[in-house]
Amino acid sequence: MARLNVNPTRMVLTNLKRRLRTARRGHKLLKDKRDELMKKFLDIVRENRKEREIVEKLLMDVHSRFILARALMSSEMLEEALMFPKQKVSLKTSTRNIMSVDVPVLEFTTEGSGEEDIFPYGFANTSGELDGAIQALSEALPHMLRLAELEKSAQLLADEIEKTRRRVNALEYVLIPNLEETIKYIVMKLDENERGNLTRLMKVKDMMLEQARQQRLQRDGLLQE
Amino acid sequence: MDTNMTLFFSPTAYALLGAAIAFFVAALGSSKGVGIAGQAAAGVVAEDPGKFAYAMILQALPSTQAIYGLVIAILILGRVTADITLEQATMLLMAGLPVGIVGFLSGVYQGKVAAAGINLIAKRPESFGHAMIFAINVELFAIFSFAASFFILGKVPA
Amino acid sequence: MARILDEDYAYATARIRAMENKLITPQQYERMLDAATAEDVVKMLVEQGYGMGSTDTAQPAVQVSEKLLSDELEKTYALLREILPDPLVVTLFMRRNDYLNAKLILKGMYLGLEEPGVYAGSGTVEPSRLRRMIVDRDLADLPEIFGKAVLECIEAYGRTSDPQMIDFILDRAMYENMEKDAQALGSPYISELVALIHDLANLRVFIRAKLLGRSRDFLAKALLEGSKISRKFCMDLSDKPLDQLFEALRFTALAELANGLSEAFKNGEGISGMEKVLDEHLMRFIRKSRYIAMGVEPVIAWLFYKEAEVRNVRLILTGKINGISNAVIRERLRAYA
Repeated sequence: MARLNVNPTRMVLTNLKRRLRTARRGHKLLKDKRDELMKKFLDIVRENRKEREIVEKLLMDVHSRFILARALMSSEMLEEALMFPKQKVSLKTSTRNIMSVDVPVLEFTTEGSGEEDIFPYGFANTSGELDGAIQALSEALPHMLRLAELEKSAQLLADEIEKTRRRVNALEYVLIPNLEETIKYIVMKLDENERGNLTRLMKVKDMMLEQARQQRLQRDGLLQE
Repeated sequence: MDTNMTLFFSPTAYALLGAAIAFFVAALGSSKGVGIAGQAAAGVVAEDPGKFAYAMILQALPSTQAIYGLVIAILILGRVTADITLEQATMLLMAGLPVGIVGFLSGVYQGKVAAAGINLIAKRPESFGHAMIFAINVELFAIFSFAASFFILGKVPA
Repeated sequence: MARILDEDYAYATARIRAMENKLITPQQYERMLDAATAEDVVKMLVEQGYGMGSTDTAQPAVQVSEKLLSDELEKTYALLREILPDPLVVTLFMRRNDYLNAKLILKGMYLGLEEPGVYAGSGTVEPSRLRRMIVDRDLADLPEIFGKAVLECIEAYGRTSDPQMIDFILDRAMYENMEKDAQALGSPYISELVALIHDLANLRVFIRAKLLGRSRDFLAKALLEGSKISRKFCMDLSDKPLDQLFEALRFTALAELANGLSEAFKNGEGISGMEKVLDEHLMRFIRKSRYIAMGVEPVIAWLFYKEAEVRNVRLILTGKINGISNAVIRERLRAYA
């Protein structure tokens, strides 16, 4: 452990002690923050996994239905049926604050002549299998957006946790021990100084006593003569 | 009587008309029949040249009507003499009718049956015999008409 | 136009009969289903004489299969045009691809595309020519119904900005055009066939719209004119539950369909089960042609067999490429011939 390069004075000691107190409090707060972030992160990850399973299932379903529709129609027919979507989807993004982390919130609104206008093709010459595929895909959309939201949140939270953890560690393993050691050093240094002083004073006192005794002896001697 | 009327009442002309009907009408039927069957044969052979022999035999079946007609026509011609009476000539005309008319119709229908038979062997070559029998059933009527013409000819007094 | 006699079809019929042996049999489908990869299926098809001989069987199936199938259909149409005494018989059915191309062109135009990415082959008008005609509004060379419908599409899109209108209008016009062509041909068989196709398409529109819970207004836009299953017949049923349709069908010319459709509906087979019933009905009608010695019937039948065959092959190929289970494929294979 490296102690800080400071002058071992009482003034510095007071400063250091104040810093140590702040560091300890900061450490405790950051640790609390880390724990809370961790809890939130785990919640999100759990929801994320659930959502991911749903989306994967839905997308597999969409995929197999699309393949069937694809298998029953020529590529030109499929292209024609799907080239011009009728429904427009607009996506609004905003942010939400979790433990001072801004996570995205995605909201989508559909614009079309009707709520159900997800089938942009004619029904007379297309395969019915396509309806199912489109329907399944449109059901998957909200889940996919939620999943995107969760993934990004989890990622941002993970970054934040990492940052907080690094800070906690820095406080715990570097700053606080350093401060403690420095304080110890200064205290020791000051104690030593104190002791040196004391010794010196005692010495001075001894010397002064001796001197006083000599003087008295001299005076007494003079008086006897 | 002017020339036209002479022709109209000429016994020889009637007898020749009989011969003409016997051959001309029957041959008409045959050519139509062979024509139809020929188209079908060409269609099959275009896809599968190996069936040429079968197709050709079936195609040729409707041509018999023309042969019957030709035989009757020759027989009628053989009876035409310089001193033929109007009565004889009319009878010869009658003799020409069965083979001519029945020959025409049976020729056309046999052609259709032969074409269908060719379609049949296109799918199943082993059914060639069946296809032949269907076509030959039609042939029977041509043979009957030939026989009828022949017997009528026999009744014409010399 | 002079009426064409059945005898004039002697050549075509015989040629078709000779080719019926080359249609893919159920056993061959099974072999294709048992094949390990889509590439093997492509190889089998090429051995069978599929395509125009330009297929490279060494290539992955994904790249060659679509071309192989469209080549095969094009070959079929070309052959029929060559052997038929009156090509209008085939043109009537090829017209469907013109309408499809017109839809691609119109939608591409409104999407601001220079060219739609794909065109359907086997049309009666070259796609590039059709495009020029539509862009220049120079529609005089098209059938009257077609030209009018294209103008109607342009008008309707301008009014509603709804791309689906293009499909609705052109679908309706396509069937009307086919009916009109059939009349011009003067063949009762073709007229009957086209009317049946028209009715089946209308039923399909109605059933799908009902299954998806679409409104009466939507039906009013989407329904075809229909022949026996008319627009009015469907609109009258539009507010009632779907099983009413099957009851109503019993009193029409398509009474045979009522049981099959209602069964598929009750078993919850959804649209794929019901489409199968419709397709099978058409095939039953087509299959009657096997008793016709010569005439237009076997020739048209062959065209439909061939289309069904290509559809089945596409299903098997796509299934093989994407690893769909054989059971799912088998369920959707259509029998013919």
